[in-house]
This record gives sequence, C-alpha cells and structure tokens, in this order.
Amino acid sequence: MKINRASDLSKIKKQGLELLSPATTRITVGSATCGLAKGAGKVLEALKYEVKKQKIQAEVVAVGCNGLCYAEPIVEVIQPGKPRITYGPVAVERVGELLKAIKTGKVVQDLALARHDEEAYCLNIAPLKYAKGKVPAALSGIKEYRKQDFFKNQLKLVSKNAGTISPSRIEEYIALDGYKALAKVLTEMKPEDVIKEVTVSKLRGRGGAGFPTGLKWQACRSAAGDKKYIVCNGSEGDPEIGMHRSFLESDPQAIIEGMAIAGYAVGAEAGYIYVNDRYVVALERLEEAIKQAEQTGLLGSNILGSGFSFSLTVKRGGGAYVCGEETALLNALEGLSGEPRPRPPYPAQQGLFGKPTVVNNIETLANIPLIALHGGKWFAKIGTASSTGTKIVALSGAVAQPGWVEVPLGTSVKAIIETFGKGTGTGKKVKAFQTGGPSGGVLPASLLNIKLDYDQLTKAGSLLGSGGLLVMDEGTDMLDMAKFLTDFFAEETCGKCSTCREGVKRLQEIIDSIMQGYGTKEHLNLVKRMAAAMSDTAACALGKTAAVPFLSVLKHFPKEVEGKLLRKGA
Amino acid sequence: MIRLTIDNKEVVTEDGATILEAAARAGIRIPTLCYHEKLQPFGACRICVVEVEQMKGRLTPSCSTPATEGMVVRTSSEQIIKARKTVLELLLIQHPLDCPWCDKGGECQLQNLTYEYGVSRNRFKDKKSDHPVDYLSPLVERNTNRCVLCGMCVRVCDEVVGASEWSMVNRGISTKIATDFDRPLNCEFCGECENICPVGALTNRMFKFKARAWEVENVSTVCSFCSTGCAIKLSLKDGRIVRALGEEEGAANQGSLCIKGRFGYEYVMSGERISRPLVRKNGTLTPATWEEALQAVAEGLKAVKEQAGPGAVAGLCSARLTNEEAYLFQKLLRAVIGTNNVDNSGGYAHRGYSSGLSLPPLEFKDLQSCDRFLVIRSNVSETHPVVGYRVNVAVKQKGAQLIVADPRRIKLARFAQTYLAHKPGTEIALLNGLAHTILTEGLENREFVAARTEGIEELKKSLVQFTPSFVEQATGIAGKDLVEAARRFASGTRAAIIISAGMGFPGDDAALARCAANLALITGNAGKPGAGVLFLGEKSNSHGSVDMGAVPDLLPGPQELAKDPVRQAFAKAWGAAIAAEPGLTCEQIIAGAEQGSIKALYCAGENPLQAYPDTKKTKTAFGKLQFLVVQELFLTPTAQMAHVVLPAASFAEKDGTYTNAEGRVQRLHQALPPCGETKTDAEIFCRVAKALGKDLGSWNPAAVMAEIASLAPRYHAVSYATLTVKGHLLSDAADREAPGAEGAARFSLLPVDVIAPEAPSAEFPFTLLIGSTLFHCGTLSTRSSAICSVYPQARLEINPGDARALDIRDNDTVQVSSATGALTITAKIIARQSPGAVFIPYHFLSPAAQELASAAQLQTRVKIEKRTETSL
Ligand SMILES: Cc1cc2nc3c(=O)[nH]c(=O)nc-3n(C[C@H](O)[C@H](O)[C@H](O)COP(=O)(O)O)c2cc1C
Ligand code: SF4
Ligand code: SF4
Ligand code: SF4
Ligand code: FES
Repeated sequence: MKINRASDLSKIKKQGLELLSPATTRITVGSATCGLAKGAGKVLEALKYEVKKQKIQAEVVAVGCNGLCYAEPIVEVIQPGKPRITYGPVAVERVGELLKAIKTGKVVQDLALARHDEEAYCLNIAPLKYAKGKVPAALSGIKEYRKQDFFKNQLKLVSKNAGTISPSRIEEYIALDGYKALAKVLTEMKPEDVIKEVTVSKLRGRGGAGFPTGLKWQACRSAAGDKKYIVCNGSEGDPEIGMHRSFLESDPQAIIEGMAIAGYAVGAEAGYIYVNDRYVVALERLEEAIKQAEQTGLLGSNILGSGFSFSLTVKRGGGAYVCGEETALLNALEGLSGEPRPRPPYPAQQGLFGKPTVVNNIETLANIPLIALHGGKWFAKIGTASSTGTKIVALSGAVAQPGWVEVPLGTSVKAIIETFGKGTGTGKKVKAFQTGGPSGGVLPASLLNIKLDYDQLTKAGSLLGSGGLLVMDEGTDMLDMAKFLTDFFAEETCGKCSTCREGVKRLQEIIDSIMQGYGTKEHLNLVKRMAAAMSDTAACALGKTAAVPFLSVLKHFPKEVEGKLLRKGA
Repeated sequence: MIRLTIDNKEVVTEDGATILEAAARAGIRIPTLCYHEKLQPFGACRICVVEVEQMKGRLTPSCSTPATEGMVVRTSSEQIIKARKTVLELLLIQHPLDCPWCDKGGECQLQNLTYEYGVSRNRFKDKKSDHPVDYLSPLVERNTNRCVLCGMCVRVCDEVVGASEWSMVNRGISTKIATDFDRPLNCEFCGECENICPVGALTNRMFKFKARAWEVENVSTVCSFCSTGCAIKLSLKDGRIVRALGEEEGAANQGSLCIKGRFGYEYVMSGERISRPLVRKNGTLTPATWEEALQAVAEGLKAVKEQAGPGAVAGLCSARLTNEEAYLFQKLLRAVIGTNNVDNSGGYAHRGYSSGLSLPPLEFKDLQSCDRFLVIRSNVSETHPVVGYRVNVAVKQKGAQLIVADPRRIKLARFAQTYLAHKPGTEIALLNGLAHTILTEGLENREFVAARTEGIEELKKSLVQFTPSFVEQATGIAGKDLVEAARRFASGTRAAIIISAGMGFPGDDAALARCAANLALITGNAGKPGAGVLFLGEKSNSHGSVDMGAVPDLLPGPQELAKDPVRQAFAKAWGAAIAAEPGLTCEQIIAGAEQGSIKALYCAGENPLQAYPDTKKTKTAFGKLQFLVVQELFLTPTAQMAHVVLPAASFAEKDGTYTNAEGRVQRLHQALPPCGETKTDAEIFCRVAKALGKDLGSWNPAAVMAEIASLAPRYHAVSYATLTVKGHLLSDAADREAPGAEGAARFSLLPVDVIAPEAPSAEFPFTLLIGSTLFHCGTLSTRSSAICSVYPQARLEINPGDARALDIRDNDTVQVSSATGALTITAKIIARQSPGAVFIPYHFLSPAAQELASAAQLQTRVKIEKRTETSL
C-alpha cells in the first residue's frame, strides 16, 4: 500500500500488529546468518512443511537474531493469551515435538529458554494476566525473561526489533512504531531542529572514531554543494564480529528510516549503503526492504506529502577491512580503488563525487529514529555524561556464551563478560581483553572494571571502536595474540602509505624473531620508535593504530615478552 | 587569500593551496617523494609531514592538507625529523642500494633525502628486493626493486598523458606498479613516467650508462618537431647529446614531453648526416668545398634569372627553419633574386591561421580552464601530444566536456561526451551545422554578438541551408546528435575549438578556420582566456614561417604584400624593389616546374619528394628543373635530385627562435658545434647572397631578430636580450581581450558552400586518410632510431569489417592504388578506423603514402587488394 500522508501509517501499523500477535499462532525462527549457520534454515523449512501438512493454524516466519547466538537455532512461539516462549537450540529433529506442544498448548520444557509474561520492552502487547496471578504449572519451570541476566541487564533500544519482527515485512516494523520518527520529522520539524536534537543527544559515531554525529551533520548541512549525500557505512571488515550483518538481517528498515531522517536534516536527497559483498542474506533483505519502503511511499519522491524526496542505492563492496575507512569507502563507491583519501577535505565538506557527504555507521543511523522520536534529552540521559545511549557489544574469544548484547554505555567490561558471556567457559580466569576491534589495545584483567565509555577506553590505550569485545583467558600467549593481530594488519593494509606498508611488515618480522628466540631489547625500542612514526604519519587509522596491539602487549605484559628475548650469552 | 604562519614566517597564499605550496611560496622547502605540481595530491610517501598547531598531537602531510586561515605550521622539529628518518629507513630496507650503476644517481630523491637526513645506518634488516628487471620494453627500463611506490608514474600516465598504461597492483607489502599482466610497455612512449619517477625504478634506456647526472651540461632549447614548441633541455657529455628533458619552466609544456621531444633528438647525431657540400659532376653528386658549392649555386640561380627572369626562380623552405632563417630565406628570394615565389609546407595550411582566422591564438595553459572543447579535424593527442595533455587534464581532472568530431575514433574520443564520426572531409558542413543549430535554437550569446560582432544577419542567411537533415546527409551525423553537440557546445562558458593543420591534414584551412571562428564568436567565445580557436600548425616553426613571410603573399609580420605602404617599407629597409604580384604557392611552383615556367628551385630543408602529395608528379617536375639546390641535413630523395647539396646545421647546432602555435617566440640555444662542415641555414643564405653579389646583412640570429623586430610590428618587443626560457608571447593581453582592433570584432561572413565529398567510385571504393601518427612528425623523425624502435614503418590502418570483407588479416601485405599511384604496405586491423576509409601515416620514404595523393584533390580514393603469394 502506498501512502502519502503521515496519518495513513496507522493503517499499516494495524496490519503489522495483526501479523505480530495474530489470533492464531506465530512461530518465528531466528534466521540471521548466525542462525542459518547452525541449521535454522532446515528448522524453518521443516516447520513450514509440517504446519501445512498437519493443517496447523499457524504462521511460520523467518526473523533476525536476538543475540542469543550460542543457543541457535532459536524458535519463538506466540499464541493468544499465552506468553511468548523462546526455545533454543532447536534441532530439526525436534520440530515434530515442538509442533505437537503448540497444537496442544503445551511447552517443550527442556528446550525453553524463557517466557515473556510482559512485552513492554518490545511487542506492544498488553502484559499477560494469569488467572489468579498464578503462573500455570506448565510454565512455572521456565524462567521469566526479566529474571534472567541475559535479558535483564540489557537495554534494548536499537536492537529492540531484532529477532522479533520479520525483516522482510515493513508492516511489522511499522507496527513497532517504525517510521513514526520520520513522519514526525517531516511533518513537525525543521531540518535544523533535527540536527539540534541529535546534537543535544550527544550521540557519537558507533563506527570507530566516536565523532559527535550532530557536529558532523551540521558541517555537512553548512557545506556548500548543489547535491549532498548520506552514506551508510555497512562495511564491517572486523573479523569475528558480524554484528552489522546481523543488524541488516534483522531490522533493515531502521537503517533506512535513519538515513531518510539524516537526509532530511542535512539536505540530501540520495543515500548509499555500502555492504560487504559476502553478506548475501543481508543484501537480499536490505534490497527487499528498500523496495518495500519505496512501494509504501517512505522512500522516493515527496515522502508523506512533505515535499522531501529521498532515494537509496545499495552498493556491494569487496569487503577489505580498509574499505570501512570512510574515505576509502567513498572511493570504492565511486568505483575507484579502495584506498583512503587525504583528509582534509573531510567527507562532510567534499565527499562522494566531491559533494558534502555524511558517512555514518549502521548502528549510529539506527539510533536516529529513537532520538527523533523521543528527543535528544531523553537519549542523553542514557549512558554516561560523555558517552550517551547504548552500545551493541559483540562478545567473542574465551567466553562461554558468545553473541551480542545491547547495554547502556558506562556498563563495565567485567559485567558484560560475566553476565552475558558467562565467564571464560574454560575454567580459566580472564587474562586480558581487547575492545574496539583489531586496532584496540589489549588490556590486562586488572582493568576489567573499566567502563564502556569512549574517553575512558581511549585513556586506557584502547578504544570503544565498533563494539567488539575479545576475551582472552589465562591460557593465552600474549605474543601469539600480538602476532595474530599484527598479521591481520599485514593482510589488510592497503599499502599506500610507506610507513604503514613497510611498518606492519617489520612489526611482523620483529615478533617472529622474538618468537624464534632472536629478539633483543633493541628490537623493542625499534618497535616503539616505529609505532611513533606510524601513528605520526600514516594516512588512516589502520596504519596509525596497527602497532597498538603489540605496544599494549608490551606495556601490560612486559615480562611475558621479555622472557622470550635472547639472553646474553645464550 | 589565506594568511598563515610557517616556521614563524607570515605567508599569504591563494585559497585552495596546500601547506606545501604555501611553504614553497615562502621559500621553505619541505621534502617530498610522491608530490608533483602537475598531479593530484596522493599522500603516499608521508615524508612531507609537518606539525600544525591547530591539529595537535599528530603530524599532517603538507602535500595534501589545504592551508587554512591562521594555521601555525612547523616544518621541522625533533618529532618530524624522527618520523622522516624512519620513513627513509623503511624505504631503504629492501631497496637494492645499487646507486653506483643506477642512472638516476645524483638526481634520485631517495638518495638525496637519505643524504640530507643522514640516514647512514638502518636498524631494520631484510633481504633486498629481487624482482626481475624489465629489459624488454622499448625506451623505458623498469626495475621495480628500486620503486618507492610513490604512484607518480601511474598518475602522470593517467591524469596527464591519458594513456593509463600503469597501475598499482596487489595490496599491502606486495603492492607494485605493473602493466596489464606485467607485459612490456605498449603505450605512447612519451617517457613521462620515467621522467617523473623520483628514483631509478623507471629510467630512460637511451640514457643508460651514458653519464652521471652531475657530469652533464644542460642546454635549454626548443623541441624541433611540432608546433607545441616544448621547451627542452639537452644534456651533453663529451660533445654528445645524451638525453633530452622537458624544461619545467617551459610555458608551453611545463616540463612535459611526447616521444618525439624526449627520444627523437638522435637524428642530430646520425651517421647519415651530410657533412660536406655536394656538387653534381658528370651526373653524380660529388663532395666539394664550400667555395665551389656556393659558386655553383650562384651560377645556377644567376643563369636562370638572367635567361628567364626572376619569376623562373622559386624557393621552398622547411617549417623547421628558425624565424631568423625563414626571414633571411624570403629576403634572399625577394630582395636578392627578386621573386615572391617562396612557400613552405606550412603554406599548405597557413591560410588557416593567417587569412582564415580572425581570432588571436589561445594560450595553452588556459586550455586547462576551458569547460568545453570541440576537437575537429585534429588528432591533437598525436599531432601535438603535449597540447593533448592539457585537454586530458581539463576533461579528466576538471570535468570539462569534450566533443570530438573525427572519422577515426581517435584517442580523445574515449574521453568525449559526444563523439561524431563524420564522413571524411565534411568538417565544414559539420561546423556550419552546429552554428545553424545554435542560431535557430537561440543558444547564441546575444549580448556578445550585438556588442562585439558584425554581420550576424548575413551569417544567418548564409547558414540557412545547413539544417540538421542537410548536414546529416552531407556528414553522416544524425540530426539529433548534431543538435545534442550544438547544445553541449553552446552551454559552456569557455570553449576552445581545436584544429590541426599541415601535411597530415590537407586542405580547406581558411574556410575551416573561418567557420570555426563563426562558431566561437556566436557563442561569445572570444576575448577571454581559453576561449576561441586553436589552429595548430604541423611543425616546430609552421607559425613562425608564416610570420616571417616565407609564403607568397605575405611579408614579415605577417603583413599583406598587396598593400603598397607595406611593400614600400620593406623596399626601403632592404634597398630593393619588391614585386607587387604575389608569388606562387607550393602547388603552383611544382606545376610551374612541370610546365617549364619555373626553372630553378631552392629547397631549404624542404623535402617535397617525400612529404608533398603526388610524389610521381613532383619527381617529374623536379626532373625538368634546370637548377635545383637543396640545403639539407640528409640526402633525402629531393636532395638526391639536386645539382648542389648544401649541408645544414640541425636545430641543436644553432641559435635562433621558433614561434609556436600559441604565438610564443622561444629561444633555441646551440648545444653542439655544427657537424662536419655544415653551416647554419642563416649563414648559408647570407653566403649565397654574397656569392650573388648582394649583402643580406649579418647572420647572427640576434641581429637578424633585431631587424625583424624593426619591420614586423608583432615582433617589436622580441629581443634576444630579454628572451627567457618562458619565451615571449606575441599578441599581448590587450590583443586577446579585443578581437578586431576597433573593439567590435569583424564577424567573418560565410562564403562557403558544402564541398560534397566525391561519390565513392566503383573502382576506388575507399577514402584514404593521409596523416600523422603520434610517433612521428614530418619526415625527420624517421631518422631517429629510438622512435623507429617503436614505430618503424608505415602501416595501413583498416577497419575490422572492411578487412574481413577483403579477407585481409593483421600484418598481411596489401596493395593500395589510387588514380595517382600504387604501393604495397602491411595492414593493421584496428577498430578505431572508420569503415570505408583507411589511414596511412605519411612520414616514411617507403611505403610513401604521398605517392597515392594528388594535390588537386582533397580526398584521395583508393582500392585495396590483398597480395597473394603468387603475385609477390
Ligand atoms: C581501517 C578502518 C576500518 C573501518 N571500518 C569501519 C567499518 O567497518 N564500519 C564502520 O562503520 N566504520 C568503520 N571505520 C570508521 C569510519 O572511517 C568512519 O569513522 C565511520 O564510518 C563514521 O561513522 P560514524 O560517525 O557513524 O561512526 C573504519 C575506520 C578505519 C580507519
Ligand atoms: S595507513 Fe595503511 S591502510 Fe591506511 S591508507 Fe595508509 S597504507 Fe592504507
Ligand atoms: S616506478 Fe617510480 S614513479 Fe612509479 S611508483 Fe615506483 S618510484 Fe614511483
Ligand atoms: S613533438 Fe611537439 S609535443 Fe612532442 S615534445 Fe616536441 S614540441 Fe612537444
Ligand atoms: S609528498 Fe606528501 S605524502 Fe608524499
């Protein structure tokens, strides 16, 4: 249905709500890449097949990921008058059993992870009222989600829809207040007001550099140019993270809405989303979402009769890490080789095709509808004074339960590892951790109490970055770790800057010599000197920070490295 | 304007300047390895880092950071020096350090900076890079072991030359520069990459092991090939030229060169140079003394003059003579012999830029600020490559829009927004069609037309017939494409129309120039830098030869011979009467020789038997001459027919000036002593005059130029005392501001009808396009072995479809015949050649394309047959 008035959104919302909590049964399968990798596709098919075959009054829907990656495939069941039940991991062999339970209104106890008596955080369904306020016996064995650390300690704002709505149905997005923000912005706010709200919110870029988004937008709005662009950086070259992919696979409309608002605010009528070519599922869902937004009249010309027009184009990229650097990304979008450009001029002054351009990260953009809807002040209250809002954190390495969670900024690293990761899972203690992806510093366990906060982490020699959290346990050899990270840079440097290209190679060699027992104190001095030259002279953050992992290992674990040096007389 | 502080100095610089440029302006040198003012900043080497107070805590590359108001910059500090030293150390780890046998030694930036920063020890160790060296590419040697990955070769080839032969391949530490699949070079061989390479990774093969950079003496002079007039430096060692470099200060070329300028100088030192005078004795040319030879010349000329009058004598000179020599030559003919029968190959074209064009020439540098180009009958990238570079920069870097009209899909067509593949020889109809469309659609610049031109109504009337459908029929260009091109052209604010002239582009020059001028004027493209018509003469002094009056109807200036006061002024200065009757043109001279009315011919550097159309006819005509004197560097086919051959000095062996296509008078400086017994053309003319009993004055070029300056108003301000390497631009700014002396330009009317191309005949189904290739210019370049190593021989360019129809494959031998002559030639199948037409470059002695052409016809029609084995 194509709408051209803001008020018509409510019609679609109604359709969406009917889909989300139908009079019959809704069965969802977490089908982001993380789930698919664990067999969600088969589970989905089996469910669909059986539902049809057994003529069960139910709809089976593929949804995205809710962060419980360790328990995939995840299946959720929503039935009228009953709490939503989250199951996982659901192997395909157990589909029959699950369906039987659904038909009979029962619960498969050993698969159930949580029941949702109340959906305030997510689905707009009135809280359940059990008869006489007593939980029926069939459900009492399943922990209510609010009593579980995994749910309780998260603050799902950006990711509230992920894993609940179908990424392929704009109605479901709209049902959960999707596009309400855009409608509000277009009908009630001037572009300057939007920028003001974003500025007041103190939102900072989630892509790595943590630049204040309001400032960036203002710079672009003030820059002279007949055309302007919004670019969504969906590159995600960080290894082992995949949370942008997961987001695109779970809630693509949120990014579209965020971009349209950004476009209105800075005066851009076109946007580009750059996505790694290997993200097949994400690309498919994103393209479908754009099509639906266009068909609904939420993208295209004269959106909601406001006179504002905005179009989106998806660009596929090769997926090299450095292509995530914003100026390299712009080159890639223009079909040039993906090497960073000299800055200044900054993209906000001269970006895509030489026009003022806002480059924002996926998560940054996904925050925009929230700020537009609830106001900058509301947002600024979440998190810490200088790091407002929430952050999606991807847990990997030595943790019992890898996956992603959304927490308010200011949450301590320790809490995240313990509450969501459930410890190292190896019985060993945490030895070190790294935040911010490959360029972050490796910090020792003594700093575990550090808070997720742009400034604190930077001060400690690491960074918040895009939100990776890699945990190392006592069994980890720190030099191995340094080598692993340095090798990553050697693979990923674009090779343009002399100091980055040569420097990373030399770092590798020095680590190798230390590992082989030929390392000397002189080598360590050399590393420091070279790291300084790299951070002083390299063009982009890759080169500037490529030595950080090794330097931080040297700083925090000096004995471990020095113990491997060539001993005098040996 | 921006004010900033660099190293405590207040610096004022223009908006958009980088810190590096601002520093240079203040005389502060910052080291660079990947920066060049001709290229877009790249920021790869990181040696140019500086500290900016406002960007605390980090260093910033000065080459790519714009200077901003109030910036406080430090260009050296302990931190900066340390960083630079580390950069150098890193670059030197795998570098072979084979400086003793590297040809860049002494002018290598890596070597210089290593020295400057005292990097005497490297704390990093690794094995030296060991890539194979490319010895297979002609002219340029590639040793990537020495490469510092500055990317300048890649960028200059792409941004300036437009050939995009190089690219950076691989990533990270394995990054290297490469050609497609790493094959040997197959490009324009301009050597710009080799020249810009800051290290010895790309070097000039001709210079290999010839000299250390500090041993050479550099002499600044001007390229002897085309009328771009690139300023060059000849490096000398032990009395030999060891290389040619572009002069960075050169206003025409800003240091750039094409293959001819960089690698074509060798003919100067060729063993085939004639070093002694030759006099025909008993039918054979025999070495003689200068006295004997001059005596023979004087006798030969005098005899004809006495028997048949001065009108039976004629002179043809080369458009490569210096201004001073061209001046003396025509003075010799006019004042000593008493005839106006003087012309040069530029004469075939000179009407284009003398009588046809009412607009002053454009300055090359201003082309870079144009936003529209119309390139018509001009393969400028090949005939005047360095002018082509300017078009590349404007189009590829600055977004100018380009319209190319050419029957062949020439290089520029690749970058063009509009490409019009018209039928050969229909340029005039096309130009008029564009003007017609602009006027009927009301796209003209009314204000300009009203204020600055006259005759718009007459023009409109004369253009009536050039409707899109009429033009479509004449040119083969679809009406809608014509209209699109017209709109594109008219929508610009600064448009240049580029046309080439010369032996490679026969005919129609005056009409073509006039129509082009019409088009420029109606769109207001005159009187501002970069806007107007650029008419490019073929050779180094095509323009100067006309200015010097080495043409039948003009006296030096050029001033019209027909005007009494003009003639009188010269008569007074020269002390000799000047005939009022204009002399004979090249074609008329040859026709005259054939008919017997021309009996004596003086060819000074001109080689009609190789360069002029219809070789057979020319040969017969010359055979009938009573006396032929040829003054030459080589024993050309023309010289071989001479009665006396006078050996002349080459461009590198003399002083003088050339005037290039933008009207810039530039100084040649003698680099070598004249080879053998050769003398400069100037000296020879004066000696011939003396032998004839007359005094031409001094042959000292400075003195001759002083005489020219006193007689030719445009050259008034030219003086050897003040000529710098930038030369002297003739028409001054006021001249360029106001076309037409009286403020409102005279609008040239259009008396031109469509010259319908001959209908294809059954016997000769193809149109033959005779022209120039990138690699050669005139016939001289065929004497340079370096150039011949990449383009040794003329080949017939033919469209794949035509080739298929004739069962011709690449490198097949084919016979090409016209009504005039026939030749056999190797075929080259090439898609850029339009169907129905074939192309042969004319430079070569054999097969000589001009054997097929006829001076009487603009279009040469030919038939092509495959030579079968049996007929060989
Ligand atoms: C080597 C390198 C890789 C990067 N990769 C990404 C990436 O994958 N995704 C991303 O959003 N930002 C990435 N960035 C950060 C971007 O340059 C840029 O800061 C960001 O897209 C701006 O958006 P934000 O202000 O919304 O964070 C990378 C930066 C560097 C230096
Ligand atoms: S710092 Fe490294 S990755 Fe970044 S532009 Fe330079 S060479 Fe490329
Ligand atoms: S070959 Fe020379 S010009 Fe080209 S990248 Fe290497 S050092 Fe630079
Ligand atoms: S031939 Fe022409 S373009 Fe080439 S170097 Fe000489 S003057 Fe310049
Ligand atoms: S000269 Fe500035 S980075 Fe190379």
